Amino acid sequence: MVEKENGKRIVALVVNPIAGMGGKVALKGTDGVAEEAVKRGATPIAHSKALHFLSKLKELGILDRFEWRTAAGEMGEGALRECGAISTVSYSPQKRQTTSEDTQNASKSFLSGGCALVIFVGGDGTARDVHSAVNNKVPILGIPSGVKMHSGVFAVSPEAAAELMADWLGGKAGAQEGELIDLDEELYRKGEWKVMNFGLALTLFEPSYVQLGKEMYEAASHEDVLDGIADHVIEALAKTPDALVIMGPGSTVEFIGKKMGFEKTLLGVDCALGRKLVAKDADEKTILSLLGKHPKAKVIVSPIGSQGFIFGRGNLQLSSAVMRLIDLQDIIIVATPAKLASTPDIRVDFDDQEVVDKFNRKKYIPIVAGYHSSVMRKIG
Amino acid sequence: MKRDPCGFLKAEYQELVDKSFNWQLRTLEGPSAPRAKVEGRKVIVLCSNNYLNLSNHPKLKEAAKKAVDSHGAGSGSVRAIAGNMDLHLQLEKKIAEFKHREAALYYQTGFAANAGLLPQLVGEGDAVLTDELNHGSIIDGLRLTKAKRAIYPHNDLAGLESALKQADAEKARRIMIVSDGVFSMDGDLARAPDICRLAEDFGAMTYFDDAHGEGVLGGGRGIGTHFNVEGKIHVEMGTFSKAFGVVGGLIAGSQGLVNFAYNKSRTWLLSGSAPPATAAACMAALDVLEKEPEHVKRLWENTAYFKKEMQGMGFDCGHSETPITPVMLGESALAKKMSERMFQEGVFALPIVFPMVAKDKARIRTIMNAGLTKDDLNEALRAFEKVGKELKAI
Ligand SMILES: Cc1ncc(COP(=O)(O)O)c(C=O)c1O
Repeated sequence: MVEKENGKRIVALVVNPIAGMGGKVALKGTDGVAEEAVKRGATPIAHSKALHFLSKLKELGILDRFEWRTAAGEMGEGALRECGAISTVSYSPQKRQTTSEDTQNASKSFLSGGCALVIFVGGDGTARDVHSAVNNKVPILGIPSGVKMHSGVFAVSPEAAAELMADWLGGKAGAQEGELIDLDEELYRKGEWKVMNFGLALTLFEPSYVQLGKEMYEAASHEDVLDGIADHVIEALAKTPDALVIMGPGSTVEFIGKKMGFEKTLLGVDCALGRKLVAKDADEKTILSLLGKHPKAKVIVSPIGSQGFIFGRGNLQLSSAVMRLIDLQDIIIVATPAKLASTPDIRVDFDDQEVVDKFNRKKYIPIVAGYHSSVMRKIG
Repeated sequence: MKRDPCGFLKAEYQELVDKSFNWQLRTLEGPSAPRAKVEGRKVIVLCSNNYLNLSNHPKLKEAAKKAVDSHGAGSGSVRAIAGNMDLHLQLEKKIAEFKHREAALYYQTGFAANAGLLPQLVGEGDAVLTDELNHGSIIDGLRLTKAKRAIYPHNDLAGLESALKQADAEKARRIMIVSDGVFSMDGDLARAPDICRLAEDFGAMTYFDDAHGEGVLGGGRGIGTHFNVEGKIHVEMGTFSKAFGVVGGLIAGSQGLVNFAYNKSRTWLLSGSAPPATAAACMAALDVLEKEPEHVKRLWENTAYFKKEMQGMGFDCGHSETPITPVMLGESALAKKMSERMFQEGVFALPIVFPMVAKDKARIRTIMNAGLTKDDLNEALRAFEKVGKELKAI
């Protein structure tokens, strides 16, 4: 462990300023399409995620227990300065529009200065960049800010990352290997799902608790379970035949869409009216305008396995602005018992705290896990 | 293509073996007793459900023998046709008296009671709310119903209440709450009074599976007596296969419940009734429980002593409130190893590992027995200490 004589641990922070910008404008990731994202009206979110993380460290009283290394400007220095932390800048990008090489070079510069942990703000792509430079010499920890965060190196939120750091200082969290997963973004944007495993990266680990219960003795095949879920949803939708149906990403919702007779995109948000598809892979604007014309709507989503997010990961098009128009009663959450077994809590992530609170006030939310079978889960 | 009709048997079994999910059966050579002969060794048994050591009680054995002499070996039919014996009716009367209820019905097993009755109590347009850790026989019973199932987080009253509200908002015709009384993995109790209170608020029916509570809680009468909510539980379900030391399922409640149950439970109507010896032994078990309160008393004394000593040595015994005492070990491999070593040391205690419990919650589950003496317990404790230290569990 790299620890200074003054007892401070040396850690580094690198921010990918454009991470997460693709989401609301229905681009899946920003690898190579940052300009397109800006053109479509995307705004940066990584900086505010970094601030959330640093503020939480401050609140926990541990911000100055670390000696900070970072990269210049938007890549970390700015956020640290805003939170009143002193940092040493060991890398400066050449151009204003930063690239994946900048993330890699910054990470390399941290290592040569000797540090104990590299914290990054970004998505799966950023994780890969950091990992390729750090190469398991020290653990890395992701603060989720991308469109895709499937890798096992992310904390569930900026605040959770800060708490993990506190546990790390207290000796309660240690380093463990997590899978680095990313999608082929080129294929992803076309609606194809090609997940690749880019190996194992060292990360900080908080012991997690997964209670399986006895549902796992259910002998039904995966296909039968999906069939049951789809029948349940179709039956529920039949009660409001004129409602706009907004379908989120993922294979569970895709299956339901197919059973309703649509060519549902695997990764996009699709909308249907009266059993007819009216928008494929819709962006936030399209969804809002459809909602303007058809205020009665039903939303079908499935949580991201293990992390449990139903909004705010992989479906940023379903933004706070959209969710402000949706009644909680009109959200149908679906998941197979197998997925639920590894997903203890359901979460949402919005930039508008009011929308987050609307969910959290509910405390428990039913998840359709089979035909006429639902599981009550804690939310928030 | 030529089909291989039974190829899957071998393939699927192999799959289980590869994952170490297959059951390896141990064989008892002789009666189920606190010290029993298991595969050639005399061992202290800490994993049977024979809590009160009644399976070997002379009065039960005597009653069984007598019934064979008077009524024969089998019942000859299902109850509904020609297999309804006076012994069955006497037993049911005795169960009702014992449970302080109007009426009772005896099933061939507890599993048959859950699987046969649950799907009849709710149907199309109804809602059934079930604890996520309920026993598999409840899960299977509920799979046969057209009612909407809502699985609530374990013993989480707020979660249950939201499920009740949801069912109410959906205008469910009937609502039923089903819970184990004692949860067999952790030995914790259902919050029966709170559940009954919530049920009352929503006009819901309550069904408690007290398989591990009868003979143990409430002086042996079960969870209803323990929490003083006897009249508020609409269906008390239980088994004779555990503390009562025999075999068979039971339900107790109103006469209306029993009339409904025996006319509608397919497991009861379409399966041969219990042999005379079984019914007679069950009756004798209830008799022993009423006349010899010392068994239940000793069970709890043994439990208190064992828990205290185990915790004193530094073992984590979870949050059990019953004679089920889990010894929390964390990793599956450690739990398996510990069980193996304990067996070599003369103590038979089973590991409970993933997927029966969460990956980091592997344990050895011990079940106390009223028939164990202080010396037996000390011997078992010494073995736990020795093996625990050896495997660095304490
Ligand atoms: C909670 C519970 N319910 C029901 C049963 C089934 O009872 P029986 O053994 O009488 O079939 C068991 C155990 O076997 C049980 O633990």
